[in-house]
Amino acid sequence: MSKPARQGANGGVTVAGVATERGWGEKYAFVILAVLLLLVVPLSLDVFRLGLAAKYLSLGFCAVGIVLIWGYGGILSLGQGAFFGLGSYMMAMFLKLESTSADSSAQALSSFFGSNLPDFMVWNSVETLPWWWEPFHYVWFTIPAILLLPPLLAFILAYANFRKRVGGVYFSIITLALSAILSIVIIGQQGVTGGVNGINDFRTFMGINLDTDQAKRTMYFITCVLLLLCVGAGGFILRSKLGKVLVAIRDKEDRVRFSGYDPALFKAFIFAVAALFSSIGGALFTIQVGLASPSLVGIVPSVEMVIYAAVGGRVSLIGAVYGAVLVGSAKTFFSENFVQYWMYFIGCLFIFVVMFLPDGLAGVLGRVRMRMRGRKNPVAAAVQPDAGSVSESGIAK
Amino acid sequence: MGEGYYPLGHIEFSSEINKIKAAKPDVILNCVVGGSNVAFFKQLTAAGINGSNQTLLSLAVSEEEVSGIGAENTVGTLTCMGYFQSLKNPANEKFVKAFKAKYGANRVLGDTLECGYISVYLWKLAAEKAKSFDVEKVVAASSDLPIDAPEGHVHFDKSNHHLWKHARIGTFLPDGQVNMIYESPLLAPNPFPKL
Amino acid sequence: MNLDMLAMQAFTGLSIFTILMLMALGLAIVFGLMGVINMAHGELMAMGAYCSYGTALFFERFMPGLMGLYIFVGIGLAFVVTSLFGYLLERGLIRFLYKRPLDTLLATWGVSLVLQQLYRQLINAKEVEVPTVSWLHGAWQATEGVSFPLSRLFIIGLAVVTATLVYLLLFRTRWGLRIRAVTQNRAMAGAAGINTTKVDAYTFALGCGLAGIAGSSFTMLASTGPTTGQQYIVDTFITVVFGGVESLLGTIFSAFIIGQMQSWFEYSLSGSMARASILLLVIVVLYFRPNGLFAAKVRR
Repeated sequence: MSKPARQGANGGVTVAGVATERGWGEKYAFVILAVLLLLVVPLSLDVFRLGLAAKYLSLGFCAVGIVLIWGYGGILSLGQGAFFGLGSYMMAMFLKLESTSADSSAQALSSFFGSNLPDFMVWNSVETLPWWWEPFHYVWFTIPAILLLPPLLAFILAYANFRKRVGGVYFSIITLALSAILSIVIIGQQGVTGGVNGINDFRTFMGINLDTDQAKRTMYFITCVLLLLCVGAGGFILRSKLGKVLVAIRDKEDRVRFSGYDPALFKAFIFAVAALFSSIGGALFTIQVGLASPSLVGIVPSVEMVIYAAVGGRVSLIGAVYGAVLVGSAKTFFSENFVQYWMYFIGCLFIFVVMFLPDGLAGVLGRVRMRMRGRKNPVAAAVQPDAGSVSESGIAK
Repeated sequence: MGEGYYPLGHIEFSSEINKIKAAKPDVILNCVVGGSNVAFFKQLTAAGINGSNQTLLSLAVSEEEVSGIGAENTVGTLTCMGYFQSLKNPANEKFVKAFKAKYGANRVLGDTLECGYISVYLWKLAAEKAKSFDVEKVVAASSDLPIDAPEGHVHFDKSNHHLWKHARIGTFLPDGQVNMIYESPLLAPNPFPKL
Repeated sequence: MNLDMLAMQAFTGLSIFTILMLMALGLAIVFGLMGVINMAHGELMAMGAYCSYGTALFFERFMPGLMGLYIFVGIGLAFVVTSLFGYLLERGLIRFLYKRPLDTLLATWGVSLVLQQLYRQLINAKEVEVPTVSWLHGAWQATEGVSFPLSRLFIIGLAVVTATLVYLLLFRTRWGLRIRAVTQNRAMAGAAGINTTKVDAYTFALGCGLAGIAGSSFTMLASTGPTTGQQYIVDTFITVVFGGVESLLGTIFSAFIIGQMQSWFEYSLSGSMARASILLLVIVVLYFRPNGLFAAKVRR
């Protein structure tokens, strides 16, 4: 891998390097992805596997967000599970209330339990619906809440920290703590959150039955379209001036600050965008899998989401989608066939990707492509953040 | 007198034990589950509380857990389960013998294991009665279905399809086995009790 | 809340403090002095615990008369095994990732997953319990209402001894001098003739060895299973980061504060709320002191 002359001494990427990477190669890849997701996959998989694919794609939202903040912002978030979980639980609350308040079920439940609260509340002797559950009766509150609340929380948290110059590693630990806190609270307050079992057993969304094959297919397409939109939006942000400032912050934050920008604002913004993507993913996940669970909120799943992004290619939004689907498929494959090897596989995957494929699969593809054309590798050029920038934003701060 | 709840997997119980020592309760009701029980019992005995000077009833400790906790830590405490390995009935004697023959004489059997075992056989009986694998039919056939289980003669309830079971309380012996001191008659299952 | 309760709770806080300190010292050395984030630290503690388990089984089988001594052998074995593993890990993996702390995080997370599965398959998927030595059974009855469990007293003693030894090693020996030199200015240290690669390897091994000691001593308080490591890692990290990454003294203070806080929170709130509150408090304090309590200014 030859280093283009225009790179800085510490190996950081110049803004021009980003522009190259975002050229026609990206649009081409985007179209391929769209075709794969919208045509090839639905035609070749049965409904069950399609549902699985949709599940991985929901997690892919988080991976796309991570690419934005990690690959381009230099922020390693180990807490995307928290935002995924927020979106997931908010949607679950809405769906659960719908299933327990719908006329037919409300009657049956009242006569059986003596109340028409969600089942886990009855088991835990909760008398009345907590006030913060009430708004989720309404879809016109739920959807905006999913789109606005997690990003708002993310922005506040991130801005507060970045303003104080809380650097890379410290912030990562804070995100780690955040996902840990959320999962502890969810599990601990099981009367109102369903605890370790999560919230499940809902069948309809706005009256539409979610269990039918038709519904599953439709949800798959909705997920794909939204994911492609997010990838597109991410690409748009990166191509804009904001994207360039972001990369500059990743590589040399102090210089950007001296140039008059407020890095905290930019970083917080992109962190909020990633939270938005994760939240949407969480909501879609709940609709399709029929479950909101704390097992996707804590530390372990959050770190796994990072590996989806790493496998795909830290700086490749599209790679993140592939990464999520590939790792998710591997998980299913291993759980179905060689249960005990799954942990070895994913553990070694972490090690392997970090050591040998820092630019992920996108980097490998880029290398192959460029070798075929005999040109320098733009993707590898775009991913040199490790050498200088990350350690700068790391513990030295 | 006091209640304390801890997250799953929690192992630091000294605060709780301090509260227990201060409150000097007549009975400790232990609903701790899983690996935390090891920590709980070890720390209890380290603090000087054990079966001989304190009545302690566990809800989730069977012979299997004791092999992990260490029989010396649980001796003298009470446990409430539906099944004990030491039950004296023909079905159980056969079950224990066959199990140890297959899995080794050192293995112990607990309530969870027995439930898993009879679950499969209950399904088999229901499916045979329904003459079908169809879920709805099997469910319907399971009403009132009886089985001669290692835990005794139990049967499904007519309407909620849970099992009528005996509740049994026993004390732990130094070898990890349980000495049953009370057995209730068959109890009607109430899956949604009001607290 | 009477005086007895106060004493007992304070002791609880002290006990938690020493436990956290044992766990965090190893990580602080590796993280603070070397800039390596070792997410496999928890699994190394589990490794130490399993060493104790193995030692106990061995003694039970072959030298039941000497059972009282197994605990010391166990701790020694744990230290040797984990530091050896640490040395190999450093040579094989970590040394390629020195300039990339976030990558070490991910790579060591991968190592932790592999280790967990190895424990599950090679040792036992269930948790294993190590019998407490007979002379550590029970408690020391200080007064009528106050008693201190002997096993916890032992751990406190062990932690004090370990911390002292680490201090002596780092500040009173030539090796310690080399370690500190490399930490403060790697290039100059190298120029002065110190073999930085060797120092790195030994420092990492030391950090892992300390993890082994910590894990080995926990067998007195709780069981060990494949996922035990993951339970400890968050607490350990929080302790190190809270205290200020480059400062070992900070780690010790941080452990003390968190230990006392946990004791009092657990007394007044429910277990899970106590845990959540502590994490929240740490986040808040980090907001005001972004580099931890004792932020040392070190040129890298």
